[in-house]
Amino acid sequence: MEYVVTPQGLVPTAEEGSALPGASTVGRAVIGFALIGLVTALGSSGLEGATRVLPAALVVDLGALVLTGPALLVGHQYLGLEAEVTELVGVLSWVFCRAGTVALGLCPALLFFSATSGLAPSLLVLSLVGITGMALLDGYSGLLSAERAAGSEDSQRMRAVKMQGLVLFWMGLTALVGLRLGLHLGGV
Amino acid sequence: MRQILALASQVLRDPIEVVDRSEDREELMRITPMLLGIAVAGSMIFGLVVGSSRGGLQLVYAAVKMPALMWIPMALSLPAARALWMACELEVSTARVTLAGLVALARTAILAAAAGPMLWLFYSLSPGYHISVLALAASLGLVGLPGLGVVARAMPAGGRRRWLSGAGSMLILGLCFAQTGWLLRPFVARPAGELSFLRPVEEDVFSALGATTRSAVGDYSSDWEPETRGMMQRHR
Repeated sequence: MEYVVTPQGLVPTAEEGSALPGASTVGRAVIGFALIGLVTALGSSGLEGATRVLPAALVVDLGALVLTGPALLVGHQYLGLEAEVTELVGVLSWVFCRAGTVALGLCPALLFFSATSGLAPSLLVLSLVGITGMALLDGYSGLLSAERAAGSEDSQRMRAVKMQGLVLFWMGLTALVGLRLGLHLGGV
Repeated sequence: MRQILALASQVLRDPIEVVDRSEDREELMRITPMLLGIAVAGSMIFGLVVGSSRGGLQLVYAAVKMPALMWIPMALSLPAARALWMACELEVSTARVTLAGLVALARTAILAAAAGPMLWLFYSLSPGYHISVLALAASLGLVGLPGLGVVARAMPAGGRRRWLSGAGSMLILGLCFAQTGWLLRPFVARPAGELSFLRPVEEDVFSALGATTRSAVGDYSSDWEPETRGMMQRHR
């Protein structure tokens, strides 16, 4: 992510989201999702519970994104929208990385609850709902910005409407797929 | 000593200025022990006042535990707060977040120490146990808010959906604070209860609150039998 220095501090440049994140940024996000599952599993009462919780964050968030991302890209091309595919992939990658960073930041607090109470699995679910919600909002504004920045002015209104519909559909699909994966891990 | 008093005054008058000018490594190293000292001293004074509700050994217990009640939740929630701010597209250094947390702690502790005489006066009127606990919680909330405001105001301007990261940080801090308070109890010891430094790790704060609420409304239909859970369960 690139930033410009302003009197108010570091502010992301307008091109943020267009470039793909580096390997270390992606790695940190993956570690964040893996670690949040691990610290929750440490406090689980049995081996079965631990094995269910351990991959939960990674499977739910990465799984939902991997399963629904291609549908978004295909829908985008099918509707004749003009943003570059690499731009959209860049936005989705940054969304995943930011979500993973939040997951990493939550690890100390979850480890604390895992050590001192039986609340960690419930808090993991709450965290995943929060992280996913935040990621979807992030994706919504990032994808719309990418489409707005592409193509000609005269077709912008129609494209904006189509893109909004597509992104809202994608958000709903991602939330449902994530929910299904989570329920599957929870044995439902 | 004069330096510490000057810093305490700055922390009360203009905490953001303290954060702004202390970000470089040398100043950070100089100021950190002083901020920690102020935070520990202030919260120990507040702990002494809380312990005075029972007196005796509880004075020492509460004074020793009160600093931990303040710094443990802050240490646990600062990484999450930083991650949330970054997710809202605000690049904040670890040093700035840590410094903001320390200044917030010091400010809260000074205000807590200043609120001590009022709480002591209230406890000297021998209020009931539950009222004493509520007064402690209200005092902590009252002195904690200006401290939390420091962390929020110390973040750079700009970014998207700042309210989300602010609300998320407060929620995480609140959860950690509640559970830490439960772990480190008792602060206000029951008048007839046996004095102890720490109670065994049992259940969690929400389960206890549920049981207390049921008791408060006269519902004694189900016995609350607290059990140890989490990692501690396996190490008993």
